[in-house]
Amino acid sequence: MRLESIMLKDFRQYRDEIIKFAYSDKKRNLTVIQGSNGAGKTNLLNAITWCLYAQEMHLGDKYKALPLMNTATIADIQSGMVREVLVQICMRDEENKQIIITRTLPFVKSENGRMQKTSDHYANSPDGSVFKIGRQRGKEIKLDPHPEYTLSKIVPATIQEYFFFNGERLDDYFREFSGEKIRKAVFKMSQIDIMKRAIEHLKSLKSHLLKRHNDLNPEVDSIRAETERCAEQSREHEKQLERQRVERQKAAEQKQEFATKLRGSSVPTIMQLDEERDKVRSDLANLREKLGVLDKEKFAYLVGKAPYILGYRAIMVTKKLLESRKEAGDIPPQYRKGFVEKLIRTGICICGTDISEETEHRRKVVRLLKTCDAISDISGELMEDYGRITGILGSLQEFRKTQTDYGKMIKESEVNVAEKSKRLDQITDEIEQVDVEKIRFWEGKRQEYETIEDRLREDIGRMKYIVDQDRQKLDDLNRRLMRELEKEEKYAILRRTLDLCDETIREAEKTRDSIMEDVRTEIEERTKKQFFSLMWKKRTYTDVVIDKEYNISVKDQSGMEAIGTLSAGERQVLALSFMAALNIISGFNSPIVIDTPLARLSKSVKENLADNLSGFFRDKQVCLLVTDEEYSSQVRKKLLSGVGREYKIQFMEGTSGSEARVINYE
Amino acid sequence: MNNTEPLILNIRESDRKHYDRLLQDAPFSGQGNKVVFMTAMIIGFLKGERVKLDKKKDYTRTEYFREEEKLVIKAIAVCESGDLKVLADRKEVYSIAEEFAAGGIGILIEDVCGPQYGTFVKRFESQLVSEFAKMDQTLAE
Repeated sequence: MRLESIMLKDFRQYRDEIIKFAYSDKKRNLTVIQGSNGAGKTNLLNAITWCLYAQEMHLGDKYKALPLMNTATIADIQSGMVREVLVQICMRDEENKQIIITRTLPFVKSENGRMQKTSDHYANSPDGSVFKIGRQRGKEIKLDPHPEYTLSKIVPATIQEYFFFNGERLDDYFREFSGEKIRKAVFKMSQIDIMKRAIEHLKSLKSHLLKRHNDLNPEVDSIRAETERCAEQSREHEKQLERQRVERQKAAEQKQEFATKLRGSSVPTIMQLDEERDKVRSDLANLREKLGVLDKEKFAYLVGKAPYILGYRAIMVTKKLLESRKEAGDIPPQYRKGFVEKLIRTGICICGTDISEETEHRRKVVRLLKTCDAISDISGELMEDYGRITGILGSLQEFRKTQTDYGKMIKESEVNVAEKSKRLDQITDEIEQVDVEKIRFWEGKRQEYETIEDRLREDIGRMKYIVDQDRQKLDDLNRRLMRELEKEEKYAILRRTLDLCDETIREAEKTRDSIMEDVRTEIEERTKKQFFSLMWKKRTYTDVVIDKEYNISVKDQSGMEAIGTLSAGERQVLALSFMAALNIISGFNSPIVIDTPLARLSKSVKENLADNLSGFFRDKQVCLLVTDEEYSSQVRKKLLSGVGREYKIQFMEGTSGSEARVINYE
Repeated sequence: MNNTEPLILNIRESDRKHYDRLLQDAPFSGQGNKVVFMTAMIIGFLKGERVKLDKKKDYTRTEYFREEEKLVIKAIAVCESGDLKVLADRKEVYSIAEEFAAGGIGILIEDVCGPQYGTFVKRFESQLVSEFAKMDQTLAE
């Protein structure tokens, strides 16, 4: 990727400039732009970072108070007029195809003479600017539908600081030489970050699988035990039912025996009455059984509806709260709390932006989390519950009718039972009136067994119901047992997946560590080589080491740590060497723009750097923004063979505003 | 927040005998633990009797409950806390249900087995009809 040109319109001190960079000849791909302090070198670097990332990464305090738009332009235009700031970077890819990156931000001049941002329908950046990338397709330039993605392939925002940087500030880089800071830089630049994210993804997958694993954890044993307990209870009830049946049979036989004796007597009326009594008795038993079942059914219905009727107040409170949350737009929620928490936990936004560090992106996501309600995670369930409430209220409409219907059926059965009982009493009375002692005794015994039979008949009715319930429960338990057995199978599969996940994480971590070790060694080698190619105190310092914790150290002749004794310029050399090493291993073949790269360097180091620059950045396209002091005749002479383009910034200060022009050096 | 539905619903250990007794005889015999629990809970809620469980005893499983029955449990928790947020903590939701059931079981056993005039079923039915009439009136308004 090479930088072909940059166009600036009304950006800070640049009213209308096009700067072309040296890019076509690998041996002369260095561009030098020389300017005095305050002429506009750093704002050129800012124009690049603003165009690419909507941020002026190197803005000085002086400019923070000034508008983005050129002050002379502001003075020239009338209030109410709209003007836009534009920065356009033209690049060439490896196939020499053009990539045109443009950012514009429109302003309107207000009555008080200030420029205010005005809304643009196509704005797609946080500062209200419009970001576009055009790519060459054949002979035409076509608008890229995914400009942010394309930019991430050129120089991702997370590593831009290693391509567009201020040389003077490099000194800060190793002022607090923290291993963590260096480790992060290596991670980002060598793209081990991707590996790290893959491992994190695997770990998150593993935790998800573990949760499912825990949810699935089959309860075969406990359900089997419960099934056995229930089956045992059911068998006991069935035995009890059988015993009751046998007893009833015995009672019926005894009753029949006395009835037979009665029929066998010489009293024909008794025989007829006894036969009728048998029939009435049988009808009565059936009616009583039916009544018992109806009573049970009715109670089951009532007790089943009771929670909804008696809990009506609670249901309505919930319904009203749900409706108010729906009206407020909380259900369904814009974002689920759990989802936003996960983004923060994983450190990666849904758009792919790294939010693991304290950045504006992360702060935005944290602010978003604060607006998320706890119920956002269960909004789906709440919607379903709202539907259920409507269903429940609908189903209760039938309550009065069903309850009345049961009442009518029970009443009807009770009337029938009463009629049959009355008739039975009449028959008994009629038989008792026969004045025969023996017959009375037989009738007494017959009645006794009949009472026993009646009682047993009711007991049997109840027991039948209980046995039915036992069977239903057993069926339920068996179904659950089958489900758990299926789970057991899924559990085994899940276990194997988890094992595979573990193994993959182990392998991925091993691979990551091995890559990191390779990268670390290479960076160490390159940093050391670059450092010693620039340093003049070759005897004072003997080694540069980056240890496994990424702590960087410079060793002196006695092998002692000497980084603390480095001067600001020497630290800048070390940082520059480290940056160059990172740049080479990054794999991103993007241009490097350095502001004031030589400012703090001593004369000999400056000249050394000028001598070694092409090897230093290994044929990368470089643009140096230098002061006249940095760009001494000696330095220029040493650089000249690699310089493709050479400019000077001419700064003009007018009454209404200032303007900078970029002109050829000579 | 604990958003996992508990597997088991508990009762007070000291109430176990009441639950067992209710299931032995009419009208609750054959109805199952879930029905007795729900009835005790709804009575506890209606009477405003909420009792902390000192010693817990496993009683029934949440998987036996239909979604509509779970909704009543959730509605009681919402009504009690005055906020839908309680639903994000299922442990708390079911804990409230257990506490109302602990408050209601004493009233229920007294009503079923006590010396009141008339049968429990008739009283229960007439209470439901009366509450339903009130509810019907509210809905009509």
